[in-house]
Amino acid sequence: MGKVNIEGNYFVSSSKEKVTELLSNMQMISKCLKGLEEIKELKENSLSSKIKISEGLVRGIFNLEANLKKDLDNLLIDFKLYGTLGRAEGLITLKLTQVEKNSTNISYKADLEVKGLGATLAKKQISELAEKILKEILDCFNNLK
Amino acid sequence: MNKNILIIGGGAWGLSTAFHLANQGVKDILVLERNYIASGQSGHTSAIVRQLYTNETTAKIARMSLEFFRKFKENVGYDLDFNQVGLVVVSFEKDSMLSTIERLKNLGIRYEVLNNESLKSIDKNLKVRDDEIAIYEPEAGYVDPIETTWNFAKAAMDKGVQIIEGEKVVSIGKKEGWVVKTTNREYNASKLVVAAGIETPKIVSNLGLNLPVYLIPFPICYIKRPYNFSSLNYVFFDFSVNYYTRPEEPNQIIVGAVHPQMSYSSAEGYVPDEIFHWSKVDTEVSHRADYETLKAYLEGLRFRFDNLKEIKVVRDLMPYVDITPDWEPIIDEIEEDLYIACGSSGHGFKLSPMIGRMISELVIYKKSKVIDAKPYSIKRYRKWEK
Repeated sequence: MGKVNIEGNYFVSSSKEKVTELLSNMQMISKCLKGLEEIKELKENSLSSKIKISEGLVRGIFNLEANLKKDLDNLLIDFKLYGTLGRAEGLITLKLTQVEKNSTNISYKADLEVKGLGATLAKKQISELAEKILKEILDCFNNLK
Repeated sequence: MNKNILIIGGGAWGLSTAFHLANQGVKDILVLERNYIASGQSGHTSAIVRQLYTNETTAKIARMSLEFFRKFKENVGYDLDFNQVGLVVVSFEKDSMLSTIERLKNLGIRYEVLNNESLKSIDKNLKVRDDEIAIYEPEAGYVDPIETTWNFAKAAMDKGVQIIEGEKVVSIGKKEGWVVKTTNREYNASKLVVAAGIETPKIVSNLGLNLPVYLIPFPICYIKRPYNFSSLNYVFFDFSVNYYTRPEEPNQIIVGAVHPQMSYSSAEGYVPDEIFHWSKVDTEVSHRADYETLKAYLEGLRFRFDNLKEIKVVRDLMPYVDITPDWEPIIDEIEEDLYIACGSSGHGFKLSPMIGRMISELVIYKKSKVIDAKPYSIKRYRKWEK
């Protein structure tokens, strides 16, 4: 019903190898996802669980399915977030570039499709929420390094 | 044809208004319905009567409307079964729920925070997690929306109101009074009320008015009550998973979506996507709930009940709900002797007894005496302009 694209850059004070290692492991990502609960499946490349979101206008317990893939230099997160308010699904592409010895630029791009009642929110609000969740994960990596 | 008051819309709001006007002695009233009585939103609502609202005006009107439903025969003259089965609300937002019910208790609304024991006495199979709160509103329930709307119609007709079905309004305009053109003829009225639900913005648009109203399809499904499933004999709001249920005869349960801003969460900052603006939605197109939505409802139910294995969907529908950016109705005199009632935002039916009263008083006295209508004024939208 609605397509949302977000993109931006984020710097992590860690080497590219270390960041790649963290981002290539769903078990590490899951530690940085706030509100994760009732994990049905958690493997190195995949996650199936519920997630409690209470962010501004989006509130509730949703189902989350995510898969990690690697494509040349990019890390890909294929995800599906769904519940009674609709579903958001899409692909997040992360491109990592070493800036200095202990600094890595993560360039992110996400193409999301939002359906159901969730799509009634303006695209700006949805992209702000998606960006917030993504930055929370990356912030968390900064603390894990 | 000349009329004193013409009301466009033969749903719960339009006919409640007609009833209240006639009940206060106003004569020469005509109601125009483009299809049949209660064919629009009033015929597709779950007709839950509850009072849990964060907006104080809406909670007050819900309170007064519930009392009206309780004494419907006394008030309207026709019997109506008000199934006061109670409402159970589950939410993980404990603090905001507690503060909401504390405020509502000050309005005289009864609530009880359920502990394990009291919850079991209502439903021994309902699972509530430790991080959630369960609240009980004992006075809540549901009614038959078509019976309600028809009862308003019958009571209005008893008092001389004329109702014409199957006549669609083509345009409205102002000469000496208000001129309403329909597919069949032209009417003149001293005062005009447009309470046509999702059609209201379109009807007033030919005056150059662009109402801040968005039309959102809300999915509803009816499931067969599983054999030996004795739960959910009350109205249930799962604010954690965002759905509601209510019992439906015979042996069914209605399941629908709860949008956070509809009930328990502030709508501050809510900006609906422009694709839902009334001018971009074809209301002649009807929708069905899709498989993914129905699956999410059923998962939501299974999240609460371990004993719910097989769930059979009986039917589904997806009526439009007319919402405003703050999820509160618009009740106002927008031009001299032109009154609009729209943007019910999902709570229209349960408020219908008092909304009708408010509009009738605006029409008669230019001011709603029963409850101040200012919080529902169109003027609250600063951007709104002709």
